[in-house]
Amino acid sequence: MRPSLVQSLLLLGAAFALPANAADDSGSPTPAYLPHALPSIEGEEVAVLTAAPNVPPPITRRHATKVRLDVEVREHTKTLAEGVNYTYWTFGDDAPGGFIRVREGDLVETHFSNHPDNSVAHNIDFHSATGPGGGGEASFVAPGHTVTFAWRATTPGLYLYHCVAAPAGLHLTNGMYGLILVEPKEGMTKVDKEYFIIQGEFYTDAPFGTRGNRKFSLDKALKEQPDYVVFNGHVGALMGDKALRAKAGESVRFYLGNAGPSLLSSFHIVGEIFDSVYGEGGTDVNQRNVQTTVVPVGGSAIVEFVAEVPGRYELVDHSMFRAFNKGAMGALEIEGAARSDIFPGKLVERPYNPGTKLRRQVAVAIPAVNASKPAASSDPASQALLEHGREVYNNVCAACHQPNGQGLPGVFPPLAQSDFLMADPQRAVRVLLQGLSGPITVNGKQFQGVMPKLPLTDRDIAGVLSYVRSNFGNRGSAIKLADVSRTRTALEGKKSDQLATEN
Amino acid sequence: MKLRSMLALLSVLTAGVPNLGTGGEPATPPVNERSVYQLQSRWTTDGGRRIQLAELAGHHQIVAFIFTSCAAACPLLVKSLQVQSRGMPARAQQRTRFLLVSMDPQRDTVPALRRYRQELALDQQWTLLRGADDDVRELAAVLGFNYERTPDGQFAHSNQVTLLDPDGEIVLQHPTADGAVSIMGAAIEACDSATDATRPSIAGKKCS
Amino acid sequence: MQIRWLAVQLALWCAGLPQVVPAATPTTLLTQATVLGATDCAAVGSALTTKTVLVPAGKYRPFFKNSLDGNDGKQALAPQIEVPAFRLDAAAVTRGEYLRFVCQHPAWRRSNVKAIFAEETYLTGWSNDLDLGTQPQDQPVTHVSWFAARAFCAARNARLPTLAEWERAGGDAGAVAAAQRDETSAAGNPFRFAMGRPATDLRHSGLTFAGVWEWTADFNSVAAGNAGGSGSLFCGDGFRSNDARDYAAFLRYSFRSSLRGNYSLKNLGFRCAEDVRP
Repeated sequence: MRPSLVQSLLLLGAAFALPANAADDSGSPTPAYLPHALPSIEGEEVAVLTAAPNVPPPITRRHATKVRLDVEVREHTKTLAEGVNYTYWTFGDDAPGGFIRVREGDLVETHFSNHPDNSVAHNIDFHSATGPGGGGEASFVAPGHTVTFAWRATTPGLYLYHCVAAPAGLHLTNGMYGLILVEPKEGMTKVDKEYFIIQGEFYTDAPFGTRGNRKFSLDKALKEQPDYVVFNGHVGALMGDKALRAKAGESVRFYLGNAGPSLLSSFHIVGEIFDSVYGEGGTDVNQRNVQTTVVPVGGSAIVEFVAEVPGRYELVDHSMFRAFNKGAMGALEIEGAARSDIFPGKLVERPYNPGTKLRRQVAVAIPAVNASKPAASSDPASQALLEHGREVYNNVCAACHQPNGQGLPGVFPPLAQSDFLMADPQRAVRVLLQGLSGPITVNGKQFQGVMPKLPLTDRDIAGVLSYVRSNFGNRGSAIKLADVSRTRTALEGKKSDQLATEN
Repeated sequence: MKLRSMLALLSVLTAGVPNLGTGGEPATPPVNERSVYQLQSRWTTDGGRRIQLAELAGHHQIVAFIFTSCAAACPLLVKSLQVQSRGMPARAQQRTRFLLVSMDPQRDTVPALRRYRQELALDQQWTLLRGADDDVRELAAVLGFNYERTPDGQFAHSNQVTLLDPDGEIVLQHPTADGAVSIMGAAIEACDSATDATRPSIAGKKCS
Repeated sequence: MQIRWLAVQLALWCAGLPQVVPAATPTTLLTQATVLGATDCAAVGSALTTKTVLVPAGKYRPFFKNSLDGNDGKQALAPQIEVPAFRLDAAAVTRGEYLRFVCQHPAWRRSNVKAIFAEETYLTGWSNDLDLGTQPQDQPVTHVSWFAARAFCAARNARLPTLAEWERAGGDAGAVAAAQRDETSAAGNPFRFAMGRPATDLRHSGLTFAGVWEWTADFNSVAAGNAGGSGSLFCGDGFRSNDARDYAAFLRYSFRSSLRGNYSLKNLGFRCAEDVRP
């Protein structure tokens, strides 16, 4: 039978693809790229997905297998930020989708289901799959239906998976993304802690933080100007009690992803340096000793470092306005003994008034801010609130009122042992809600200045006031969250853009 | 308004059950409620014979949609199916037929279909059908085949190939002609060569 | 009927439009959907009337360009298509109307329908074949397949609207594009219009869309990637669509392309169309 044109082309291609035979003395060089050698499949198992930020344990088997992967799409309202709701489209229960861990050569049989309550068709594109649409065509399915399709994990690396149904940008920004790690045959090197972080954006019909049910804004999306840039799907997903943790001395690996849909991520850990970077999520360490690594949109990166000095470390997209104002911030808490050999920290603080003659200059050694722990509290909820308050104080208040609460004589009133502060808790709440201007007297000294109205949430205010009222030598009761909310509501009726004046 | 609904009611009650809006006297309906042969539509072969789809029962049917004025894609599809069919195992070949349905009944008249058969040298294993626009749309909807007429007189359509078992139930579908017949042939062969004891299934459905 | 009339009035009032008075004043109501014996069918919903609007001849530009492989970017905008005048139901077919239909056509009752014509979820939520249970009768019927919708319309001597007709009447691309330029308004959310919005010349016609997707006669006319086409309903679509900003249309066309004729889905209903005598 005469071979068809297609068959001839295939034969020709194969001839070029096969490695040069030792007996072939034509001298042709070995081709740079060979077709993937597909190992045989042994047995089968069910994929275990883990919720952010955790990853499944490293793979121990030494053979390729058939992995049954179940993915269900839900459309539901979730909290994007405090007081802010959005209709998320998710793989599984939340954005990002669960972390999938398979091995090079595995056959992944994906059972993809679109919940009957959903409003639109969805699909899934695995960047780790080689085939049309990465599975997007094969998996396209209407609500109330399920489809099974398979693909082979031929190539190791860290890959994004996401929905790519039209319009793709909308499906992505609504939360339909996750990471899949295809471990190389020989496995990954062992580290003590592994986490994953995926950056994503939200485009809404109102500025960042506007409370209520927010809707997608196409106009902002086309301008690539999101209101929210977040880690793991929500503002604060890696903050407070959800901060990542490691012990000093442990090796840590972060699997990073960037779902975009628009913005590159410049991932940085404040105060840490990456010992190794697998750039773009490939299988080689291609750079060492890196401060900030780029994570492309629709791509990934893997970073490794050893936790050394205890303390709190911010994780950021170093595009600073995103970190500060749009939510691209997380935290890593490293516990352990202080390392004054690596980071002696602050040694001395004293006044600096160049060109003036002062009667005396006194050097005062100030202990490091981080060491001050909030007063112990009996229950975890209050403890969490105090911790949060400490965070707020260090990030917001300390700039003016100083880390030790002493303020600046003549400029910023002290909070430490402050009679003005402690006398009237409700007034303190009002000051934080509205700001304050005009003359006040604190501990016998007059201050004439302006305290701006700060964009603090109810939880921020309750936390920071509770913290300050029980630290810096103050002894006072905590402030309840409900009281702050009530006061805020009461004040909202009056003019709120003017700074209150008090006496 | 009221008179119209009364008339509609009358026409419905006298038309008999089931009323699908098309077709006349129903052939003996197949028992299998998933069978494509539930459709009551009437079609014309390139030989001029009027049939209903239920007459195709008894053989596996490999189904594709074509239009004869198609410049490129359709002849390639048919040719590909033909070539692959010669490679089917003999026993599977015996139990298999090919069905081509025209999505362009306006231009694909009976003579046009007859010419098409001659041009492509299609033997008696192949059935060519034309039917009313609505009936083609209905059959396509059952098979999940998408098509539309474009303003320039051509058609935009997928290349899906479907395998029906002898009962008329959809058991396998392939997005393109390439490899379709090989996969379907293998499935038919596996099904047919089994003994009663083992009874394998094509894509989850038992062989009939 | 009165409830439906009221619903239409409310919708129009909310939209700030003048009210519309139906042709016939209903005298009896299908006040509750209860179990009905076969002898009741003739009386069922005899007071239900269906309001249709006249859709004048108009143009509509198909959402996709001609070429399957539109990624060449060279394709000009698809030409506009003339859609002749036709009548279209003012609102989606309601459960009450559908109950009347299955009463009169036992083959389409849930326990009789063939799987090839309607999948297992057909009329989910009804207590039984002829009982809506707690589901309101004046809201769009859902969990109905394309075959069922066709049969319903045929029984009324009507038909499903074609995709061109539906888009001409309810896919108001101009309004969608304008609204989406408003970044702060909820109007910028593509979902608001994805399920339909009356064309400019039909704003005062009484035509309403009520939050369900709708079947069309040729829903499977979009050459969609899921059926082995070029896959261009996915990423490459910016090139192939005539207005890549019309996300509402993307959602609608994408949804249509995922459907099969026997699907019976939670948020998918239909309305009928009729030819206009010249």
